[in-house]
Amino acid sequence: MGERLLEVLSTTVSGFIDALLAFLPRLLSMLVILFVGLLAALVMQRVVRWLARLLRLGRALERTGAGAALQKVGVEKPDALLGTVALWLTFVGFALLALQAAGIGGAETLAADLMRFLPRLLAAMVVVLIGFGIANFLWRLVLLAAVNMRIEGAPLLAALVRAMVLLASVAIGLDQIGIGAQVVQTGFAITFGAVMLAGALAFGLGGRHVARRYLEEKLLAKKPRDDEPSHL
Amino acid sequence: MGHQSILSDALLEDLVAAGQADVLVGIPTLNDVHTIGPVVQAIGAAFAGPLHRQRTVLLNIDLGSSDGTPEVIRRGSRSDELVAVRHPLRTVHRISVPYHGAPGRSGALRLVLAAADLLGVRSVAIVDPARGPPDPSALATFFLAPHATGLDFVRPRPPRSPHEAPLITQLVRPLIAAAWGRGFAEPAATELACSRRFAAAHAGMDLWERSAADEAIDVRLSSLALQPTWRAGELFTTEDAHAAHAAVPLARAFRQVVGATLRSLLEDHAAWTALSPASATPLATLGSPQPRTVAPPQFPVDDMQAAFAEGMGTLAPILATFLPNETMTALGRVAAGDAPFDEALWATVLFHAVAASVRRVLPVDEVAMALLPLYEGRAAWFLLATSALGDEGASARNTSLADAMQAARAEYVSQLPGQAPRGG
Repeated sequence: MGERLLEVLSTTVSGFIDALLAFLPRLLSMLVILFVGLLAALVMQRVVRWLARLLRLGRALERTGAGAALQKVGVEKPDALLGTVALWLTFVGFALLALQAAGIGGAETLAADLMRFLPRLLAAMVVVLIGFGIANFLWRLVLLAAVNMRIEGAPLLAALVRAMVLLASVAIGLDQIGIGAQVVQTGFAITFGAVMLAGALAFGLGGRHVARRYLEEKLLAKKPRDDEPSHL
Repeated sequence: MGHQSILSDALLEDLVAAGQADVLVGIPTLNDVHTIGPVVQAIGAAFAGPLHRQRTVLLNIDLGSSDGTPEVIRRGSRSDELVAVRHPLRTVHRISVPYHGAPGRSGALRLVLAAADLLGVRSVAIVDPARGPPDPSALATFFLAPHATGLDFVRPRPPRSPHEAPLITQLVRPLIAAAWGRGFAEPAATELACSRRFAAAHAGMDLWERSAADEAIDVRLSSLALQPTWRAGELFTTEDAHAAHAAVPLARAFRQVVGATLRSLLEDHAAWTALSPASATPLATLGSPQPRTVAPPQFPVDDMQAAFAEGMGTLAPILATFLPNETMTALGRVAAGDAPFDEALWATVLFHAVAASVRRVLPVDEVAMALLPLYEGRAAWFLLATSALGDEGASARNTSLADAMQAARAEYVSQLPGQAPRGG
């Protein structure tokens, strides 16, 4: 009985040791991949930050007004944010490779899914970033023009334009990565349509006299009132 | 020479037929039938009278009149002296009404300068078709001024009350004058006379190609003429029918004229920051100042103050991108009525606007648009503060503004990277 028990134990231990010995190289290669991945991620972070600085991304965002808006949500340096995103994406990619090298089940599928997802994620990020820039650029332009023309409710008008562009860019971004694509599209279409319809009704019916005067001034190039003194 | 490619074959033929000339008068027109008759008659009288020994050519470039303006000019001119060009609006790249009311005018001016170079003239002048009936002998003096005095560029200087044209007296004039150390009283005037040398040097420049050039080309030309290379001057003239009322709404005129001013300072930044204003040659003055008989217009100062206060509140996030905190605070106190909008504060604001344009913090047009409410506040404060002081008091304020602008300029230049403090 004792001998039998010893034999079973010995077989189990030797099996464990064999398995451990078989796994050790894979563990080692996993650790090496993780280490290399960490280095690669750090390098990638620096490269992306350097590229962003070279392309004067921060300045471009400042010029569109997006820089100030990003600061409001806690992003002081957009190039640093891009660098951090690049670092984590690279590291996660290497981590999946490491899991695959370790022979952990499902890692291959996960890695393949990630590889398919990454371009869409990047495209979505770019779309949202560009949308952010365009939204702020238009907000500033509408605000300046409306204040210069002494239009009532200039801040509201400008905020509305910014919200619509942001909404559109977020909807396109979410559609890219496939998150609630149908819901987002429908929601955007309803919101956009409702705002446009409300605007058209307010402008065309509620304020038809204002609309008429405005269109006459714009399309017929009416001269300013005769009593307006020249500042020149 | 070398600008023939700008001129059409037909115009080139007409100019070659006209032959060498001493004086070329260019007159860009657009639906000016109500004012052009007396102007053409006066030009004809000047040609036939004081200028009868000069070989003269009148070049009319019509920008697409539909009211018979070119026919009026043709009837009022000698056929051997008139070269007419139809330059319809469809050739203009951008149809927006500039402050002077004639889209495409910069292209017309360029043609006149190129033609002047081709004809080898001694003087070339641009006449505003909307001006009042001029005196032929005064016109002749103006036409001949560059040739007679050796000046390269001459602007007319009609009499003006310091309570008139606040956009010029409070912004365009002091800013350009501070940059170059000298300035025209009327930098946005639509008339000029210049030498062939000036015409030849500028007809080929790329400044005409830019879409914004059409809106305020006169401001750009004034700024170019103030460079030390050119001998510039002003000719005191009698009163003209200088727009008592606006040709375009203030917002549009402001964006065009202030945008052109900032763009000029941006494009010539290296040149004006490198020179010492104290060493600038003063402008030559020709003739003597004439009296102003027309009362200055009444500006709606209450509306202007309200626009300033509202603009300060609404545009604060945009203004804060190029104005430092202490300037924003000072402006806030002015908007609240707790402090005057004095010369030092206004000069500081304007040079921060220049800095924002140079550093591309915002596009130039947006800087100009952001400045409009501040200008309205400053102009309203100036008009109120000087209303009881008379012309002398207002002129003294403008002198203080010029001094404050020089101080702000010196401060600005001293903060440029790699520049030793200078100014004066």
